[in-house]
Amino acid sequence: MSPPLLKTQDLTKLYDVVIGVNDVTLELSSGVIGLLGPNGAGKSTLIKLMTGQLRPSAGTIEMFGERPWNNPRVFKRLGYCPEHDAFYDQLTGHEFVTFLGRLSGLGAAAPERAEQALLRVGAAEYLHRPIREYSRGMRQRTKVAQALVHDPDLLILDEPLTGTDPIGRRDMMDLIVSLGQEGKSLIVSSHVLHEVQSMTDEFVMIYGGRILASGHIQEIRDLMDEFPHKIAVRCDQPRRLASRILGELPVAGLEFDEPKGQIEVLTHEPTSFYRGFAQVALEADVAVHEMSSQDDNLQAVFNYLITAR
Amino acid sequence: MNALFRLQVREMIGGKKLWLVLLLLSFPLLLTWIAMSFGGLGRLKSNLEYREWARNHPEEAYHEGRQIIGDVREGPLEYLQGRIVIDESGFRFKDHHFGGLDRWFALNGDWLLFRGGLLSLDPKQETPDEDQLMLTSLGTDEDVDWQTATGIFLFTVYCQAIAVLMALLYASPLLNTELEGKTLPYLHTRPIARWKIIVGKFAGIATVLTPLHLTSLVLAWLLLELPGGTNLLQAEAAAAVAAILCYNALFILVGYMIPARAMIVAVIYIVLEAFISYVPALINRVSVTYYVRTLAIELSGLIHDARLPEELKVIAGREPLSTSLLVLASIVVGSLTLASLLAARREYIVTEKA
Repeated sequence: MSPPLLKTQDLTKLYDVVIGVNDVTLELSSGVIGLLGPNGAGKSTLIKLMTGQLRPSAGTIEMFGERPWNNPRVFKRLGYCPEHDAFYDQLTGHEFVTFLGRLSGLGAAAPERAEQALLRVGAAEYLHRPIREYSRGMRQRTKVAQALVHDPDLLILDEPLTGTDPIGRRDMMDLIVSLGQEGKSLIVSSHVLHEVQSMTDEFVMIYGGRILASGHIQEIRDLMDEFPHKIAVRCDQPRRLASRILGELPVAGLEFDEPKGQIEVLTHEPTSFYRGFAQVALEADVAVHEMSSQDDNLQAVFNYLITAR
Repeated sequence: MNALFRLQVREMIGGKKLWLVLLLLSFPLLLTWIAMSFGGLGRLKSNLEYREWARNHPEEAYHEGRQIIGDVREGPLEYLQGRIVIDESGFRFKDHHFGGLDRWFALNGDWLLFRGGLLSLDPKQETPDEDQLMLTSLGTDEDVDWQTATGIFLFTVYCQAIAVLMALLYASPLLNTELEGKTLPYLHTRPIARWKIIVGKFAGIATVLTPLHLTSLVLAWLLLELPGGTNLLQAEAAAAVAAILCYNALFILVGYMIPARAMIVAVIYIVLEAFISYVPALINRVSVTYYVRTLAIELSGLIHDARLPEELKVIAGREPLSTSLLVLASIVVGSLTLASLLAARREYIVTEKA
């Protein structure tokens, strides 16, 4: 029997006196798994431990049955998409992915594999343009392409939807779902339950460096309905968009942030809201620059879970 | 490793960045031109030409000198405390007293730009006997010659100043650039040993800097009208390459030891080393400059030709060529090995703050 993707035992990571991950014992097998938690919950620390960037302060962590710290055998089977919007900006997307493909041992095949990976994430049209000219969505896709280039067994995507526009978000979700359907294993971190739910039913919930819950998403979905979901939309005509949203989408509250050109929507039905939003924005002829889900409602669920424990 | 090498080359000369490197390497050429046109090197050259003339026309020179010294003796006493200066305007006393810092610089041979000139203005004789004074300055070989002065100048500019400055700019921030740019996770989650990352990047830096550095050195040598022939050029070139390799390796290590403050620490090191390498005792043997300098001296034959001023002989060092090469190679290999060990053992954390 092959070892699990991830196995931790009493895993703890300290940054001096600050606890990043606290006494985590966890075992994950193949599939698409959402790593869910508010900002600062310990998701990125756990991911950095999985990807061998950090060493445990206490306890153990194994990926594919081996310790990941500075371990090329693990890195060969791992594709990592970091949360930071960071690149070698002077390179084109193709050069960037080719470079990292070469570091993954692809050798002369790297350029072709890079092209395939970029096409796979829908980056065909800007393959040979410098990354510094990319939009945020294009940059996100390029980051995923570099994680895919060497065809790893496991993809770890840290907040892959951050900063994407609605279309980019939908495309990224579709990509993650299709990768999962192709049999790839993925660990996708997010602070937005709705996003994770759109991609998988399996989740690990982390808060304060501890695992609060893991299993099927429906268990916390029911809890979520009690708390409104907050969505921020930045666009060129916020008032116009707001009036259309109020009339056509399920909204529990709405706030303006005029200087930022942003509206914040509260809804109890995020799925319906997201489903209808693109059409409403299109009909209103409004250019949407960015759409992001706040974690207020998730925070409320976490607070509830912590109190309940 | 090849991919990292190519990325590093691209990082340094990609787009408009090549202009920065070229600008940095044109700076020593500007210094050379200033030294020749307005500074000590130009003055020394005139002096030497005059001495050559005086040697061939001793009677004319003697009478001219006596007349000028006679004129000066009519003047205030401080003229006699000065030094003889011979420049394009002729043979005369100059109203200049070499005391304090000027004298210190002259004696210690560490005056970046005008050092060659200052040495020429520092004859050894201090006797009030005007005949002896004049004869001393009129062409004995006790003073610095053109090859030595230009050799010191080229060494100071290319092996000490520019090689160190380039390493400071490109090698010391090598890791911190990845940390601040948040690109380090891309490298540290790939199946490539961390020592290969370091060696690949080091090779990239050396490959970009070495040919450009040597081109600038050759141009400066041409500006100085080919002093010392190819023998001096080869010695300076070998020392420059050694300096590039050593300082870059050393500053990469500093970068892996203290990423966020690598440049500050490197600057402190440079200042300390500038003093230590000229201390005429065992302590100067802990500096990179000492071995680069002895390499240049051995290859150019300056010591054997007894053309270095006594003050410089004391501090220059006389290590055999093989010792210098061995120590310099050890510094490169040792620095890169230590940096690789650090990279393999230490966590380098990319944070929002970084």
